[in-house]
Amino acid sequence: MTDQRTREAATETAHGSNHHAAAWEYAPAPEATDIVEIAPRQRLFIGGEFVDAHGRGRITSLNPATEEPLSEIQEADGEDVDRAVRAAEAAFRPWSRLRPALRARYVFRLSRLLQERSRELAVLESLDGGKPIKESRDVDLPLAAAHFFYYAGWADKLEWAFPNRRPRPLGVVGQIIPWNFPLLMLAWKIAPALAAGNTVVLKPAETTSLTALLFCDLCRQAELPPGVVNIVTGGPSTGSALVAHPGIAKVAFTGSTEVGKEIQRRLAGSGRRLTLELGGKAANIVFADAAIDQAVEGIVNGIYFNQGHVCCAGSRLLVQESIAPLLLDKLRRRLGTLRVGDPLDKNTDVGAINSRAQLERIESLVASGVEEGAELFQPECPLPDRGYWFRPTLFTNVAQSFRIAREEIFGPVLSVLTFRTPEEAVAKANNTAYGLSAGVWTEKGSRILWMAERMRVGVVWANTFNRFDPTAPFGGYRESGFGREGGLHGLEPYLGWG
Amino acid sequence: MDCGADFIKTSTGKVQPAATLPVSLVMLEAIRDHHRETGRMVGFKPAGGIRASKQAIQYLVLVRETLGEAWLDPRWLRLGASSLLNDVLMQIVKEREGAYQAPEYFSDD
Repeated sequence: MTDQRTREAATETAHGSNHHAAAWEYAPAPEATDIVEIAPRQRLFIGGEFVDAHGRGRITSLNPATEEPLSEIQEADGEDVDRAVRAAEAAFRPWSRLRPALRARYVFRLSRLLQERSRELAVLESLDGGKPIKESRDVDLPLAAAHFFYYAGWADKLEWAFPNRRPRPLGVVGQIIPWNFPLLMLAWKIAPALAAGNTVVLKPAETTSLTALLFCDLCRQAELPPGVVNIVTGGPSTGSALVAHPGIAKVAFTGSTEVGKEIQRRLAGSGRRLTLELGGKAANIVFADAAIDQAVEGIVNGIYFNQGHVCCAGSRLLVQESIAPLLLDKLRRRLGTLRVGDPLDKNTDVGAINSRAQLERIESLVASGVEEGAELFQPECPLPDRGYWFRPTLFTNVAQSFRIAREEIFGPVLSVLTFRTPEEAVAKANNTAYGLSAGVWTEKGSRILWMAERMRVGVVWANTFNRFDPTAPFGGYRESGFGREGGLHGLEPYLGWG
Repeated sequence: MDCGADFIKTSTGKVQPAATLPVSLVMLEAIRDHHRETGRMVGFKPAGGIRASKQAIQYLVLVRETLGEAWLDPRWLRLGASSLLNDVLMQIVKEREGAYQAPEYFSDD
């Protein structure tokens, strides 16, 4: 009954604000795009040079907000991957024997260049990936630069980082990154690998390769020795050739659990190292004693940040039953104020879905939620005519068995469950195949620690969500993968001993 | 508000600091919660420290985002900012003429 009333009130508010919107519509505030020049054809970056691929495959990179082509990227085949690995092998000896303080200097330089050219990179990131400019400008770029900065500091202190263990670099590292944070994931991968003295062959996702290719320009500007960083673009077949290449000493992969399992199968028994950072279905847990308005902001940040294309997104909201009607009322009202649209507009909160394939996946999972009996709420925000868009979505009346409560949606879709006791919250939070992150909202420090001890996840945020720092290790349990990125834990997978 | 106040105001405006955005947000959220619980609208008046038109716009946006369109009305929102008027006049003339005028063309208080 209460639920019914609050729902009506919320719908009214959402409608109400739209009804008056005409009088107080904000003017658009688009970021200028003339700072970045996009070549119509991209090439591979091997041995310090941009080279044409041997492979004939070509992939058109679209702007997901307009569906217009931005550029054409080349699909590297086995031969191209082989060429890249050879270039990295050739660069490994001098690079790993370089005086560590000099190696640090190159990594510092990359960090500085990321800062200097941050606007260009942020605009390109938003054009290519559809994420709001305020996020690429204020989150992706500063964090990417911070990662290089942090690991540059370790490059000449490895012996102190791991006392009595005699660290040494591994060799050529193969890295595959996803499309949700293209440049930031590149930083998470390349910065520790270079600091440890390895050389790199990296494959960006095929829908978002442009910032990785622009990063090659930064490598040249930093006068990084040729072959230390190589970028091969392409789809699954390129990734598969990279994983299978015998010259690779270690594979680092961030992406879907499905592909992660496939890679692990391929590498089994080969003696080569692997770290996986895969999917998640994080619980964001709000206790009755939490600061509710702050929790609402945290929930919004947890699931609608980057259109929900976040492996650690707080996609399951667990609310203590006594405050559920109040919290959901406030949350629905808040969703009514989210601005969905042009990623380059500085006022945009939720940008474009990364690709048509991803949009279809979100749509089918949302349809399954409705079919299974969950109640759907979406604010009535206007959407652009072209491009891939999805309204911020909230599901109530969700059972733990529903697909929307079990599968990773990777979109702006929140499933709400309730609980009565902390024990029940822990049981529900752990009732998933994943274990990447969780959030706890409560006034009591003791309860946060109690919860953190019992939840099987890699990261627990206390009274906040989606906070990242290069010094803090990040990674998962179970189907969310293994190995850590960030901090000293993130350096360890790139080192051998003795 | 629980006792029936029709308007709440940050302060007299004669002490510094007076109206700030964080303080205003807290007050607006209190108004929002009161409206949610009782259905009664309460007015808001930030006073002191709002000197420029740009600042005034920030307050309008804050009210719009926190309380909604209904509050963007002199019945529910007043800016206690006597020194703001000159700047608003100056901006209006600038919009009309295309260039800023010297401050002495506006009343000097």
